[in-house]
This record gives sequence, structure tokens and C-alpha cells, in this order.
Amino acid sequence: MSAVILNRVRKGLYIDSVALMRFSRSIAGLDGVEEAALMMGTPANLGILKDAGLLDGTGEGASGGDLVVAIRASDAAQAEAALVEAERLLDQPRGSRGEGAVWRPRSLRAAVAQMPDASLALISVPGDFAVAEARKAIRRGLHAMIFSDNVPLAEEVALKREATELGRLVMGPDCGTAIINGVPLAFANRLPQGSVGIIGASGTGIQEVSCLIARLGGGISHAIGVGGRDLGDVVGGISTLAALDMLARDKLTGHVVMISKPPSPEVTARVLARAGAIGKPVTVCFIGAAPMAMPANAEQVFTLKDAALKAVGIGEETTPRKPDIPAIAGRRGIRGLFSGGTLCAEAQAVLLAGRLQVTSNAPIPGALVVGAAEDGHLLLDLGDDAYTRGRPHPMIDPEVRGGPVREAMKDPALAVLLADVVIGHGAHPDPAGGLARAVTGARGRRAPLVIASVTGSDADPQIRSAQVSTLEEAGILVAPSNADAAAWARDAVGS
Amino acid sequence: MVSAAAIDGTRFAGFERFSFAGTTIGAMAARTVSQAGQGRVLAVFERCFYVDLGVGLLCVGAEDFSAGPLNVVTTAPASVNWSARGLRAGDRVRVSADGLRVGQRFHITFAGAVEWRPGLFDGELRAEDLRVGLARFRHACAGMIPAEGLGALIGEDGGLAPDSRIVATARAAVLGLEEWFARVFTGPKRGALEPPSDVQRLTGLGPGLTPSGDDVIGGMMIAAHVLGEASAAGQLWQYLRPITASSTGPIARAHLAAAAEGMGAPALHRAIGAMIDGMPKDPRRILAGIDGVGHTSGWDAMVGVTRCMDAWLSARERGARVI
Repeated sequence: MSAVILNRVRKGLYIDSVALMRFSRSIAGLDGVEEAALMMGTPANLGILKDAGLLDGTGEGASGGDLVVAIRASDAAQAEAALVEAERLLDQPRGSRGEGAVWRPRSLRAAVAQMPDASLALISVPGDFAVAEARKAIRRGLHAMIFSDNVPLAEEVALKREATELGRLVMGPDCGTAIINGVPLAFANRLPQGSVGIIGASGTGIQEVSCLIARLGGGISHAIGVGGRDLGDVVGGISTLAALDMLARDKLTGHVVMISKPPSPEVTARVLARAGAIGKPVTVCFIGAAPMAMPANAEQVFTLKDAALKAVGIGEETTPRKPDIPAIAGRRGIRGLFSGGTLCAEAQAVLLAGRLQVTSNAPIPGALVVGAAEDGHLLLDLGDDAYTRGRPHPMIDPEVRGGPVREAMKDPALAVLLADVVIGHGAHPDPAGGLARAVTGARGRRAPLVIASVTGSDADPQIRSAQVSTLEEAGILVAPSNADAAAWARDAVGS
Repeated sequence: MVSAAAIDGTRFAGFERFSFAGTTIGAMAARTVSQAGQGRVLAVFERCFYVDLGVGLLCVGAEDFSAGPLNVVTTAPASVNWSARGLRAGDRVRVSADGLRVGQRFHITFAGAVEWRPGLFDGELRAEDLRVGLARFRHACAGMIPAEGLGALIGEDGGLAPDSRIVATARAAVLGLEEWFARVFTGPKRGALEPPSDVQRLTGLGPGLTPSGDDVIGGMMIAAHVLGEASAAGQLWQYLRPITASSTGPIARAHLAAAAEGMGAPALHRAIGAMIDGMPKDPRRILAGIDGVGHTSGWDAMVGVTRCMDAWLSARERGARVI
């Protein structure tokens, strides 16, 4: 049966570009739809639609100020259904949403009434209102996890001080990952419970360490996110100190791992002094930090992988697996495209340790900021605010990384494309599939070697082993950890 | 009580539900307002609305709206949702001495508005700085360029990833236009060089309210102005203007007209200035600014900017008469 093309022209309808892109993708993903596009009906665009086999007689009559809805589907019924859906999307009031059948409380008070034994409130509201909601939570005796960002710094400090006085913990703002009593919250993984407690100022850092610990046979008591600014000079580590005290008292926790960017010397001294007093072994991983003096019960490591190894009592890997790296003569560049900020930082640390020049949009000490050099190994945190304005985070929509991956695959100077795949709750259902499609779709004769790692577990909805298989089937080398992936890349360009 | 003046729909004074003062008005918008009598609302978005006054377009936004050649920034609160406030495409608009009135709902005054136009580049234009600035920009923007649109053509060799039909369609036209600029910048018979006919395939091409191809052309014309080659931009616009009457929409056409006079989004001008100076050590603010212009418009315009700069450098290598 031949495909059916169906067009509709909406005269003088102007929809903003982001919405048009979203609608196009949504319609193209419907059952039976082979291709769909929503575009202004300029002659050039009509030419594109015609070449794509998307234009019918109706669309041909459009002009530059009109919007053309063009659909090609496997049969007339599916084309008509897609067109109806497109019209619905175009005509829906801005911001409207479908009503769910499940009643959801609309206030903290109603939520507590519904679940009186709750001990923690997860707050995800616009940043201007987040502190007010968190304050209500701690005054009701709850700990607060603030997923929201854009919270004024002064309000964060005031809130955390009040929480400390009340004996409550504030995780965040901008806290995207936590595991409390075995329950993964927000972007987190399903892992066995165990004796390692984690305190982290970064989401993907916590995910990588906790997942590696689980793969090494350990388990997690609690993983506490404190927010990216907690260890800054202004906040001074208020939540980190509170979390250390809590894990010190927690009977299940036998070992504490701390993960962060390097704090200032004053905050470092304060935090290490408290860590030295908790009476439990502590592993400190301040990614990018220089070696520093540690309390007797603490040990400093420089990668997330080493933090996991220390936490389960393995000082060093005895037989790290090494792949057979194909020859990449004549090319030396590494391009890292990361969805996780701390994974990007860890990769920088590994390359810098190999005395390579690194540039990044989120440079750690020793790396250069993008634009400071005309070349060098470029490692990008694609989850950074600059890349996600008006777009989903690459952990939620792997297609955000699709363009940069395709671009890198065509770069004849590039030796290695390095990428992370982060799975778990909150992440895309098939991020490996997204990366694999982008890589295979753009791979040419002189394409770079692609090396990746998968942060997650087999208990996650995406199933780590299945994600690894997807990548390997696409010819991607999959390293056991992010640090290993970076080391393989480093060895590849050094070989 | 409602008076006859409100009911007959012709004399609205005093019955508007929302009255705001314009604080900043773009140079093109100011000229349009000075010439206009009446028109209609062309398009309404959450954050702004376009008004077609026959002689030109205005784009009206709230207090946090960016300045721009067509833009009117008002005292309306940032939270305003124009469509939710009842503004509709097709609503009648009237401009008079005391401002702009839209139906019976909105009154916007211009009395205290400050005119915006991009600052002139007054430094010394040095090829070496520009070459370094271009290279650093290209290196820095890797990974930021959206898959949609024409941003892939920012690449030095004409784009490395012809993933989309739009990029494939546009590539030859963009490179052809770059070569035309290089020849115009070089040659003594510059006025006799007609732009390549391929440029017609570029206008109106691609997604967005301002199609990507138009943004590329706009970026080229703006860069030409900054590089001291306003006449080349004028020459291109003279050729394109009649074509754009049917090749693209009215909003894109208005932005092209502004670009022909060397005016675009402030973020674009900041980026061009930074590149001429060799790019700052930390270009993230520059890149974020570009990313904030439309969905892909900022990057599409930077295709034009970088291509025009390439042409300028190429002309210089060919022994041009450039500055």
C-alpha cells in the first residue's frame, strides 16, 4: 500500500519556533506516521516539503505568511488522525494540560494530611517560591529536598540556617539526585541498600559513585544531595555539615563518601574538620582539587571511580579491563559530549592527569575555558544552563546531544568521541538508543572512535546491560566507568 | 457606565484596560511609528506581539523584553501573557501623538521611550584579531549548535554534517554568497556584481518564524556593516527586497530590512564585537546570548556573520581594497 500525504494550510497563523519543533516531533512519532513537518509556507520550504515527499495540492497553495502542516502516513486513516492531533496542538490554549484521574494534593498541608508519616518533602516549584515551600516543610518537621533552581543565594543561606536550628536537612536548591532509605528520588538509580553513605554537591557524581559501588558488590545507606552552591563561600557547607552529622548518627552507614567541586580553603577546612570527627572512615573526592592534608579517618581520591573503590574497601583495581583500541593515525583530538556535569569534570581530571590540554565550558582547575584556545581536547557539559535554555536536559531528551554527536562524527581531525549515558529514574527511557542512532547515522569512513560508559544499574527501568548492548551493537566501545572511558580516550590519542 | 465613544469602536481614549509606557524603542520601530497611522496585530505570543503598521512592523514586549531594531520594551510586568490578556491577531491598531492603541484594551505611550540602535564599532579592525576571534568562536560553539536550522554551516569548511535537507539545500547558496561578498569586498567594480541567483533558494528556507535562511542573510548584512562594507549589504538588499515580497513572511522581511541597515539583536552585535576583538577568554556569556535569540535564529545569523567575516579575510588575502 502506498503512503498517503495530507496537508493543511493555516492562513496567517504564527506559532513560535520552539513550539513548532515540538509539535513536529510529536506528530512524527504517532503510529503510522512516516514523516511530518510544520513549517511556514515559503516557496523555499515548499520545495523542501516537496523533495521530502510531504507536499500535496493543498500545501502547494500556501504563501510565506501561512503555516503548513504536512504529514505522510501509511494510510489515510492514520494521516487524518495525525492531522487532527496537529490541529489540536496548534489550537490548544498555551500551557494547557490534560487532567489526570488521580487526585494530587495542591498544597504541602494537604500532602501531609494525606501522608502523615512523611518525613521528607520534595519541592519542585518555580525558584521564586521554592524557599517559601521549603520553609513550610521544615517547620512541619520535614526534611526538604529542593529540586528547583533559581533560588536567591541569600534565601538559601537563611533557609539552611533555620533548618539547622530545627534539626532538619535541606537538600538543594538544584538538588536533582538523592537516595533516602533505599528510595531513589528524582534522577537516581535503583540500587541495593548497604553501608556507604554519600554526600554530594552534584547529581551525576552521586549516580556514578553509587552505581559503581553497587556493581562492586556494595550498597548505599543514603545518598544526600546538598546542591551545587552548598560548599561555596556564601553558604559555607551548612547542609554538608548537617549531612555529615546525620550519617555519623546513622547506624546503617559505615563509610562516608563526599563528592564536590573543590571548595574554598576556608570551607574545605571546616568540612574536613567535621568529617574528621564523625568516627567513621571518609573518602573525599573534590574533583580537580590538588592533594590536600586529610584527617586521620579520611582519604582523598581524584576520580569518582576511585571513590567507589575506596568505599567498598578496594584500594586499587588489580586487573582493569583494557580494550583493543583501533588505530587512529593522523588524528589527535578528543571531543567529550557529556550529559552529566561531574562526569565531564571527572573526564577532565583524567585527561589532565595524562598531561593533555583540555578546554571545557565547565573547566576544572587546570583546564581552559572554551574559547581560550583555538584547539585542544574539548569536553562539554551539555547539561549546563547555557545548553539547556529552552531545551530539555540531555538526560531527558538524548536528541539534544544528537546534533553535536553528528557534527563530531564528521570531524576529520577528531580521534575520539567520548560520551556518557546516564540512566535511572527521571532519565530518558532509551538514552543509549539515542546516542547509537546519532553515531551510526553519521558515521563515515574517517569517523572517530566512540567511547562511552553507562551510569546505572540493571534494576533501573532502562536496564544497564541492555543499554550497554545497544551501544556495543552500534560499534561503540563501552568502558566499565566514566573514568575508564576517559582513560581509554587518553590512551588512544597517546598511542 | 460605558459611553458611546467606547461602543462605536473608533474613539477609544480613556477606555483601555491596560496602559503601559514604552521605555525603549528600536530605531526601525521608532521610524515606523513616526510614519504610521493604523494597522493590525499580526501575531500574538506569550512574551510579545507583532503589529503591522503598513510601513513597517513593531514587536511589543514587557519590561524584561530585549531591545532590538523592531522592538518596543514597555513597563508591562514580565509576567504579562499577551494572548491571555485578550490580544488577538487581527485586532485593529492606531498610532497617534499619544501612542499606540490596540482595540480597547491596550494603550502604549512612546513619550519617554529611549531610542535603541546598536553601538558603532569604533576600534581598529585588525585581520589577525578577527582570524583568531573566528577560530575561537568556532571552537567554543562546538556542541551548542542546535540540530535544527542552519547552524551546522558555521563550520569553517561549509559545515561538516549535512544531516538535514535544509542544510543540504542551503550549503551551495551560503558558500556562493560568501564568495560574492569576497569579490565585492575585493573588486573595484563592486557595484556591477549581481548577487548569485542561488540566494533566492536561501530566503524563506527553514523552520521558524524568521526562516533560517533569512537569518543567515541578515547576519551577513549586519556583519558587512560592522566591517565597514555597508554598501555591500545595501547592494544585496536591493537585489533581495522585491524577491522577499513573495519568498518569505512579513516578520522575516521586517527583520531583513533592519539587517540591511546593520541592525539585529543586541546579542548578535555583542558577538560580532567580541570576535573582532579576538573573543574574550570566557565567551560563555556571548554564546548564551546567541543561544537566547529565537530557537535557532541566533545560530543561523551567526552562520551569516562568520561567512561574511571569512569573505572579508579572504578578500584581504587576495589583496583587497578593504580597510
